[in-house]
Amino acid sequence: MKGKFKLEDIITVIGSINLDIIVKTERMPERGETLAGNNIYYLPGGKGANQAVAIARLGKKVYFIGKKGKDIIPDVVMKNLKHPNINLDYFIVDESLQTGVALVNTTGKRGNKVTLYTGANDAITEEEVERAEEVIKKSKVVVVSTEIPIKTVKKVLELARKYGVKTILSIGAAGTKNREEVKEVLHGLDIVITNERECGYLTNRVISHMETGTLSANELRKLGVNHVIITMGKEGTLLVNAHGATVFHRYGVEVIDTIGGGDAFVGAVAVKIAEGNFVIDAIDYGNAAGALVTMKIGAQEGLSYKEELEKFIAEKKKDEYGKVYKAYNETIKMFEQKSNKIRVNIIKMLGHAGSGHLGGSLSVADILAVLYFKVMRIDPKNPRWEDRDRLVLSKGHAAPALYAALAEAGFFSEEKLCELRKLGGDLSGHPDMRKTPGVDMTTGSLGQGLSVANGMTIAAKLANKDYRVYVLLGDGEIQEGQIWEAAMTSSTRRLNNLCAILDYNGLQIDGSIGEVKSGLEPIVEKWKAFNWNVLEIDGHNHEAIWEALEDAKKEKDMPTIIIARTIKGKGVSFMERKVEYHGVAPTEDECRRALKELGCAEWQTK
Amino acid sequence: MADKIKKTSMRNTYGDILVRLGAMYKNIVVLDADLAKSTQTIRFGKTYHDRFFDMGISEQDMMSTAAGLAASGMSVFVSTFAMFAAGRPWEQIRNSICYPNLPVKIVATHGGLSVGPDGPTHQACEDLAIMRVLPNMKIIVPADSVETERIIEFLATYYESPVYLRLARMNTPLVFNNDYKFEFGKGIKIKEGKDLTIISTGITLFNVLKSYDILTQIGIFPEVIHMPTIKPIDQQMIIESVKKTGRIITIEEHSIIGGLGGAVAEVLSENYPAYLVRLGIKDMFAESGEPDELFEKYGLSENHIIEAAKNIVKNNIKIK
Repeated sequence: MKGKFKLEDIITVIGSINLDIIVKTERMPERGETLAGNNIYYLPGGKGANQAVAIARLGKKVYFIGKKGKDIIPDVVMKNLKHPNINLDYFIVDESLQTGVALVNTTGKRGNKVTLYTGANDAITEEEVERAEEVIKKSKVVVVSTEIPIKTVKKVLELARKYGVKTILSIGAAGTKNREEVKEVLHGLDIVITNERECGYLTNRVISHMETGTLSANELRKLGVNHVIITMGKEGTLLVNAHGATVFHRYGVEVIDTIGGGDAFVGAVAVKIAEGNFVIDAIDYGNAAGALVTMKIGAQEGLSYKEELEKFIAEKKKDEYGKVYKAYNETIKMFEQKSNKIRVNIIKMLGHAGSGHLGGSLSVADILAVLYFKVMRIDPKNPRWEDRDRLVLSKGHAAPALYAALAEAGFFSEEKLCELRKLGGDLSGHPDMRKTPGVDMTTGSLGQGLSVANGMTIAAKLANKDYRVYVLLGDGEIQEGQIWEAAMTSSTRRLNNLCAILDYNGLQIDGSIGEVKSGLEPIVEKWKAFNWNVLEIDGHNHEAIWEALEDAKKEKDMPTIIIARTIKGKGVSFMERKVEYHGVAPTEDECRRALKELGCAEWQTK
Repeated sequence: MADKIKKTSMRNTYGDILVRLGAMYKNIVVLDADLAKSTQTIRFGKTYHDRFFDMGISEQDMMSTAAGLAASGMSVFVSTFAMFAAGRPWEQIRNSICYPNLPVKIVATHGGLSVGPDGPTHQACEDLAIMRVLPNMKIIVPADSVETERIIEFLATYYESPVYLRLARMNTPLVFNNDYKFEFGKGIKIKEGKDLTIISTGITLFNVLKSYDILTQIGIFPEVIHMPTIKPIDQQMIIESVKKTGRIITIEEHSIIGGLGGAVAEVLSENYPAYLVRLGIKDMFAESGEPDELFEKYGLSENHIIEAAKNIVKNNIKIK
């Protein structure tokens, strides 16, 4: 093996190198439209080069194997590759070819579009990578991207597997390749990293959220990939592996240009994997690196150095709520206590009742806490008060959560909670307005609550009352056609004093929402198309919930829906994201474990 | 009693009376599902634009919305064709209206065969049965415009329970005059008799009266009872009459299963077993045709009543 590196944690990157010609516009031009950009940038790019620079700056030695030709703009593409951590012994320059060019239209946080001239990237041969066999053999990790010929990719992966080297395939420009050919190289891969568009192309599916992402990822896993990672912009990052699907929230930053985010992510993940970390830790590191690079224009310019990245992570970690929501005051503390109390009582109630809906009750605890302990105008001493705000629990199976909130608010005593689902008791399996104080509408049969809430809202307007009506919908529930009938009624009648909250936990009884019936997404666009004001939040972030509910009050013309992204079974680790906990009561042992997690020791069976 | 042959439209009466009541009761709201011009709720809509809600072709949404309005103190009238008022949103009526006992007034027009030429898809001959099984639901079927008017007046301030009121499509002869008083839950004895009891509901009363004239001429004297309220049904009147006559014919513009005939059968078999003939649609779908033709073909004309009456009286059929 030639070269100047000692045998340490080296990483080999085989991939593309391009000249990025970037124009930034306010928005994407439509078909047939010409838009003026305010500046033009000639910057170094290409997935392979970006990843190599990312790795080098994070302090790892990296061999970069790629091919460039004649440059149309001199002295750009190699600029950042001249780094002490980067070895270019196997990098090829062939002046008979042209260097690849990427025409990039970026809009800042609204994303980018790339048109690629592959140039010399398309000319890397199997023989050329075979020459680097010794380097591949000594690598901790090999990163290869699909912007070079697929047969070359295949050769790289063969070599890596021959020596038991960890493999990462970064899928880019998949649309320029034959879909089946790309799929063929997936077998035996450790990690595939892709974004929602590229993965969507491979699996012939529109991926717009975690559900469809999981479906596509599982298709790739079936082809023999161990970990599938899909970077999904503001949605966060999705990891699908043998343990199921996990969502990693992104780091909130001021996005200038999304170009390079994916490669910074890949580079950082490769570094962590080379250091022997778990994939989940690598992803968090990658998310932070991806976030930092988007704060500068260009793919490589903003790639962070190790110290910079670690400082950024440390700062973010200091504050549990991240950048966007960081107030941790008495109110937020109160919300936390109330939602915890609700969760504790849900577990206890279901444990006593021996049946009921666990997952979907736990997922709405935070929303109900903010509603009943801050936002809603209620008088627990006078549950039928005409001017009260109303809540229609359209997903009536979350009754335990509602009952726990009502008891905590003082509509009835906490002892009553043990009457859940019991003969002669006041707490029916699904909410009953004639039996339980504080229940504003009888629900349980899915799909009807939004219409009822419309009726209540219309009544308020007719009676010149200013009360507000809240309706909590389930994500599976909105498969019911009546919801969309009602959605049209709300907007026809301009019911601005109506606020719907969608508990988007992604699961229904028979499986994930996308598996059972696709078409829920694009959810935001759908409600917008029905003329609703749409807000999107993390449904477990109390401040976000509070802020969204207050924002909704300001809306003067349209009904508001808050798309609350939630986790089914939230709060109890072994119930989270488990469809099995939709409609079963916890066993005694599960109750004890769950209550312990929620910080509540006492549990006696009655 | 009867102003002969003068026909009026129950629907027009419904529309007009709503307008009158709307002035008296500011909490009356009316919902329709894109059939306001047929149900005549449009008359209310033109007068009280802000209290009229055309919900479009979405009956399930309409029923649940009505529930929300009723839960907030409104006097809610909901109208569409009987087929789409009872059939399509049945589960919404059950779970969002009847179970919480919200006083929604469902005024279903175009009930039974009288929708005629539209054919079986629009002929609601099962609505009474599927409404009758719902706890808390009350059911009323008027015979003419006068009765319709009195019932709507009654319903304007009725908040005890949900109500299903069924109106016919065609113009119907008046059988009652202006002295008529509606008593909820009570039958009306139209004719005293001794040989048999004929109980009708809705517009079939007119055919019963026509058959009455002919039957009395051949020496058969039926007791004629009109039963506008099918639920709760006037048990006492049925039992008292059958104790006298020993046999009953029921007639309704509805399947013989589960409607008036079913209700009377239940009362008789539990209280005073007696011979019963149910005239109505015989567990089948009808067809397109003019209402009169359909009444004749599917067993609801005066001829069918006369035949049935003659048969049981001449053969002295009774339960021993």
